[in-house]
Amino acid sequence: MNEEIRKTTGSSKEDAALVRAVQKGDKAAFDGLVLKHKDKIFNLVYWFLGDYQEANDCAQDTFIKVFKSINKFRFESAFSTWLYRIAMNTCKNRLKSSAFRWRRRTVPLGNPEGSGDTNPCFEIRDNAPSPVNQLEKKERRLLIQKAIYSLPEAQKRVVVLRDIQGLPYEEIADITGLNLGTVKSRLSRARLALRNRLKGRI
Amino acid sequence: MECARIKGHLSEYIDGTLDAQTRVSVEDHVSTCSNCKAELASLSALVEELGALETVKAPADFLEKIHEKMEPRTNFYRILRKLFVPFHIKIPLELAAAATMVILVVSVLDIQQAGKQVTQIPDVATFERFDREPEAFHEVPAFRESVKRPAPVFDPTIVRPSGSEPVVLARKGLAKSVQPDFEREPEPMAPAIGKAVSKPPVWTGLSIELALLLKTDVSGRGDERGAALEAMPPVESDLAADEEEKTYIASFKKKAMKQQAGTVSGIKREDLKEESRSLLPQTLRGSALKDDSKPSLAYSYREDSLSRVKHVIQSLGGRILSVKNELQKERPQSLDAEIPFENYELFCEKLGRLGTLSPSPPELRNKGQETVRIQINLIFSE
Repeated sequence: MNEEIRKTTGSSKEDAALVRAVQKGDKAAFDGLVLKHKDKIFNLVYWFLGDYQEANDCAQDTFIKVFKSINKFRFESAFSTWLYRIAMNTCKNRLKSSAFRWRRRTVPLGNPEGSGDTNPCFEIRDNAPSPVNQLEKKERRLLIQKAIYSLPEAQKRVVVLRDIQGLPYEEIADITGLNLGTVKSRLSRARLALRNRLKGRI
Repeated sequence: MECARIKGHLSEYIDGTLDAQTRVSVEDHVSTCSNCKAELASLSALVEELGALETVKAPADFLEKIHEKMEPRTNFYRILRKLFVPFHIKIPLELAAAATMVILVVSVLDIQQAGKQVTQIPDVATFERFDREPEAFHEVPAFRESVKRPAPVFDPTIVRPSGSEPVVLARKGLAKSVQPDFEREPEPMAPAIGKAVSKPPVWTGLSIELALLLKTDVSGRGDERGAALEAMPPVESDLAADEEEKTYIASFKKKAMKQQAGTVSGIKREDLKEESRSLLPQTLRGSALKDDSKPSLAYSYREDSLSRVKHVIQSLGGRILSVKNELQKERPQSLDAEIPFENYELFCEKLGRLGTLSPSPPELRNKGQETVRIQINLIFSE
C-alpha cells in the first residue's frame, strides 16, 4: 500500500503547477488536485477517525479548506505536506466535536451506517480470495482499526502517517511540527502499544 | 540494561534508519538474546501487517460532493433546506418560538393590568380616615363666604389638656368648632396611586385657619403701649425693609404714641370696659369725651393690631382678601389673606410676635402651590 500511495502522489512539481493554476482561478486545476490526492487523504482520515462516514465528511472539508486558503500557500513546502497538515488539523477538530463524540457512542467502530453505499471500499490484493480469507481479513482489519483508534492521539498520528501512509520521518516531522527525535520515540512507543493491544489476536 | 537499550532501537532498526554502529550493536545483541529477538520479530510483523492494509478509497461522488458544498446557495435552495429541516432540529425551534410568544403575550397582559390599577378611583373608606381624626387639620374651603356665628377656635380656659373628661369634651368641642358652619361642596377625589396604605393623613390643603390672641402690654396701661411698641424686637424683615416700609412702620408707631399721649379726649367712654378705664392714666379717667368721632383707646388697640397683622401680610408679598367684623360690636373679627407659599414660615414667625397662635401653625408640604390662604381669627384680650 505504501508503494501505491507513493506512485499516486506524483511529483511535487506537478502539484505546484496545479496549485498555481488554482491560484489564478482555474477551477479545473483544483479538480485535478482533488482527484490526485483524494484517496491518500481519505485513507489517512479513515484510519484516524475509525469511521467511513466521518472520514468522508472530514476529507471533503479538508479539500474545501484547501480551496479557500489556496492563496495562502507559499510553496515553502511540498503541497502534499501542506495538504496533510490541513487534513490532520481537520481530523483533530472533528475528534473534539460533540457531534462526533455523540455519534461514537451510538455507532460502533468499524460498522458503517446506512446502506451498502457507505461501506468502505477496500482494494482486494489477493488474486484468489477465498471467502474464509476475506472474512479473516475483514476481522483483522477491524481489530487493527480498533487498536489504532484506541491509541493516544499523538501516537495515533505518527503510526498512521508512518506505517499506514508510508511517509518518511522528515515529512512526518514537517507535518506534525515535531522534531525528528520526538517522531522516532513516539513511533517506537506507538508500535509497542499497538503490539500489546493486538497480542495473540493476529 | 542492554536489552532495554536495544529495544529502544528496534523500531528504527525495522525502518532502516539507524546509523551503522548502532545497527551492528542491535544485530549482535539480537543474535544472542532470545527475548529481544522475539520482540523484534513481533514488531516487524506488526509493521508489515500495517503496511499491508488495504487503502480505503474515497467514494465515486467525492468530487461532486465537494462542488455541492462549495457552490453558493440560492434563495430557492435555502427555502428548500428550511422547509425540510430535520424534525429533530425543527421541532425544538418551533417550540422555542411558541414559548417566546407565550411569554410576550403574558407580559403585555400584565402591563395592561398594572395600568388599569393605576387609574382606579379609590373608595370612600380612604377619605373617611380624615374625618375620624379630630385633631388633624381638616381640609377647609379656600375662602369662607360668611360666618353666621363665631366659631370659638381658641378658648383660653381650655389650654392644658390633662386627659380628664371635661378636657376631652372640650377637645371634641374644639374639634367640632373647627369645622365650617356651612355645607361645602364635596371635594373632588384625587386618584389613589397604588394600593391603599394605612398612613396618617398629610395636610396638603392650600388654606389654613389660625387664631391669633393678640398681645397687649403686660400692665394693660395704655401709656406704656408706645413703649411696648418700641420695645418690640424688630423682625428680620423689618430690618431689611425698604424705605417705604420703614416710613410706614415709623408713622405707625408715632400714631400709636400720639393716641396714647394727646388724643384721649377722643375716646368714647362707652367703648371702654370698666377694666380698660381703670387702666387709663388718672388724668384721663375723668375726662369727658367731647369728640365722639375720635376712636377710643380700645378701638385704637384693635385697629392697630389689625394694621400690624395687615402689615405683616403685605410685607411678605401677600394680599388681604377680606376683613370680617363682628356684626354687633363692629370690631375686626377675622382676616382672610393670601401669602406666597415660600413666605409661609416667616409669616408664622412674624405673626407669633404679635400674639399667640393657636393652634400652632402646621407644617405645609410644597405640592407645587404658589400661595397659601390663611384665615386669621383675631382675639383681643380685653
